[in-house]
Amino acid sequence: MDLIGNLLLGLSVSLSPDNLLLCFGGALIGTLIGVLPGLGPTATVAMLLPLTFHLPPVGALIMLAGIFYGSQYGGSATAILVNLPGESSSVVTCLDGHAMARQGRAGVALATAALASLFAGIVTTVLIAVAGPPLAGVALAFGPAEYVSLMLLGLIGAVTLAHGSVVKAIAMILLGLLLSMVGTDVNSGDTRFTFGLPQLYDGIDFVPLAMGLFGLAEIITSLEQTGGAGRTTAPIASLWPKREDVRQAWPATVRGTVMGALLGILPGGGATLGSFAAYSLEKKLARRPERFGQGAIEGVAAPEAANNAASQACFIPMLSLGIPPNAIMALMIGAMTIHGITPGPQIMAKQPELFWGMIASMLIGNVILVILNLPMIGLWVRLLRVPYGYLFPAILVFCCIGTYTLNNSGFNILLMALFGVLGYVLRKLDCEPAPLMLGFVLGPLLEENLGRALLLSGGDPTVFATRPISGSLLAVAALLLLLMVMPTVRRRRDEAFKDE
Amino acid sequence: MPSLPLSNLRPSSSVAAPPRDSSPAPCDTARSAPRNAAGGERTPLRFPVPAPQDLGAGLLIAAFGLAALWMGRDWPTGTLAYVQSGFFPRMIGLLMVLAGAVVTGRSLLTHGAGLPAWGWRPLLGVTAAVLAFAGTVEALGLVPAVLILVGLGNLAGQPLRPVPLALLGGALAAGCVALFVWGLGLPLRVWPLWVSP
Repeated sequence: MDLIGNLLLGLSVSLSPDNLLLCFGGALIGTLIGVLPGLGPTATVAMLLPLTFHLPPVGALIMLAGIFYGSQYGGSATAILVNLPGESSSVVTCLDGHAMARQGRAGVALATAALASLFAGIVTTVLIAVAGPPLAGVALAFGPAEYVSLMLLGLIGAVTLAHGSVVKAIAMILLGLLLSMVGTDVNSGDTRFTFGLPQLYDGIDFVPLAMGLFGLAEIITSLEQTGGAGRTTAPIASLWPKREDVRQAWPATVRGTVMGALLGILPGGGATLGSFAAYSLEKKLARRPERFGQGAIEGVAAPEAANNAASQACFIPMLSLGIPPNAIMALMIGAMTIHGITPGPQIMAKQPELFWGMIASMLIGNVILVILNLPMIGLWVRLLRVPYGYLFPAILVFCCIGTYTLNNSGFNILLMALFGVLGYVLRKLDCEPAPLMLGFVLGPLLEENLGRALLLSGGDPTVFATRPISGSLLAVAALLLLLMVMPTVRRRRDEAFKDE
Repeated sequence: MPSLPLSNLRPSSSVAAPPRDSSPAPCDTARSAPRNAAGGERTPLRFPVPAPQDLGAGLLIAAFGLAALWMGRDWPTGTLAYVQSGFFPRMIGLLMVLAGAVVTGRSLLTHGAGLPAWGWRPLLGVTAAVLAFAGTVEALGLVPAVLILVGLGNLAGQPLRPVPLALLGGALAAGCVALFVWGLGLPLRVWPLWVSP
């Protein structure tokens, strides 16, 4: 009953005309930007953050959530139509989605992706509403030591997000932690890493960092790859799935949703792992696995459902524990902080209309997304044909103005340019910027709680292992680390053997 | 990446186009055709180490760590029971040096990807455009800053012809003024001082 009462409260917030409009606008703009090749959800959310600065907090979060799943859907559309994944989570969708598009079934693939995402979104939203409050209750019992261990677990989990070397991903987290220390130390008032620049005394703002690392670096990479030319897209014959398609896609959607939601709750699991796992599960279950890669509709429905389920399940640790499980949730936490909201277990009790309003808006947003996208698929296809040379200056201008208006200082634009270059260099060196972002957001929390836990224990570092909750969290983190290192070790050894 | 010239030079080890890299082949096919159009790229450099890309990454990581340690060399670390502002930077700096050393060491022992070609033109073009915007938006106002950004940014990709470029700049400047100044009411200067104080 409580659940229904809460959801009703949320619906009353999110169905207010203002918030409905924001949700709609967010989903629309998110799709619009997310459809552009090379711009994944993280980059899109980072670039559109400034749009929400001047809104009331609830409205801003509703709009950001709308932008997030809008961009996710937009990314799937790009993956299906031009075989270019915006983010690693839509890589799998490329395989069968684009194969379907080449057979002239792009419309069916896009509709399947939209409907599978809708189903997964609704199921997962209910899951968030059910699982959020008890988790927040657990989190209230957390002391500083538990928080440190939880954050370590989250950061280690984030390493799975980065494809590639585990050590490099850890180094990126460390770099993020290092960047988070720039500015005045809250405890002592000492300034650190400021290079004597007064503009840095308040620390590095999170918007220029996110926009530079994701927005600018993505633009540079896209320009390098396309030179500013347009792309050819597959033609669209019909939109609606046939009865046969529905029969095949339906069970795959359900399995994908379950898979995605389970993996999404795990720190660092996220959408990528979910979509890959769902795809391989479908391939294993299929009676004729050789159809996969040739345009099997299950190969679109399952990863898309998993993708959406996982990316919404990520909200659970973010909202209830205040710990972002991936870079996008780190962006959301940054946005909340800008609005003066501290994410964490207390949010549910202190600001129920914000918490439940946001959750209910996810329900509505998912419906809006389908209503919005089915008729507009043709428009997205046309947008994809606009040469990038016309699009990227607009995106650049938007990034610059957004960063500038943070506190009307050109310094933030300079920082953004600097981080753009850094992001590009890191990409070239095969270092993923997503863990960096996570480290940056968690840095201050981690340092504060680490100091506090040590203070409380009288300088005894074993406190992290001996307190039961903290110890088990650390054990899980260690296990994760071990599991991730092992296949790499094996593969590396295999490679070495092959070379000889 | 199979489409890079590197693979032709080193048939044996180039199979190791990063096997863990899940960004799929389509990017490569899309990249290869207009590669020359973007211009400004060179053949990747070759170093006599098995994994030049990892070497670069490792050195960069270690450099960040060393810089942090050096900058924080005089900061008080306190004791474990009462850590002070120098403790966390030193810990993270040490860990970074360690991580950098591991990546560097591994790059000398196992085969890995080569250094990719650098897209100097988009990198410099985009960065210059953004820096120019930063330098002009306060002094000259939004409209000139947007026009300068569009003009410089145009050099980052395949340049547009003058007329479409002018139209794009004009439309963007007008759109930004409409959206940000009139619509959202942000306190941005629109024109230079000498035009409208």
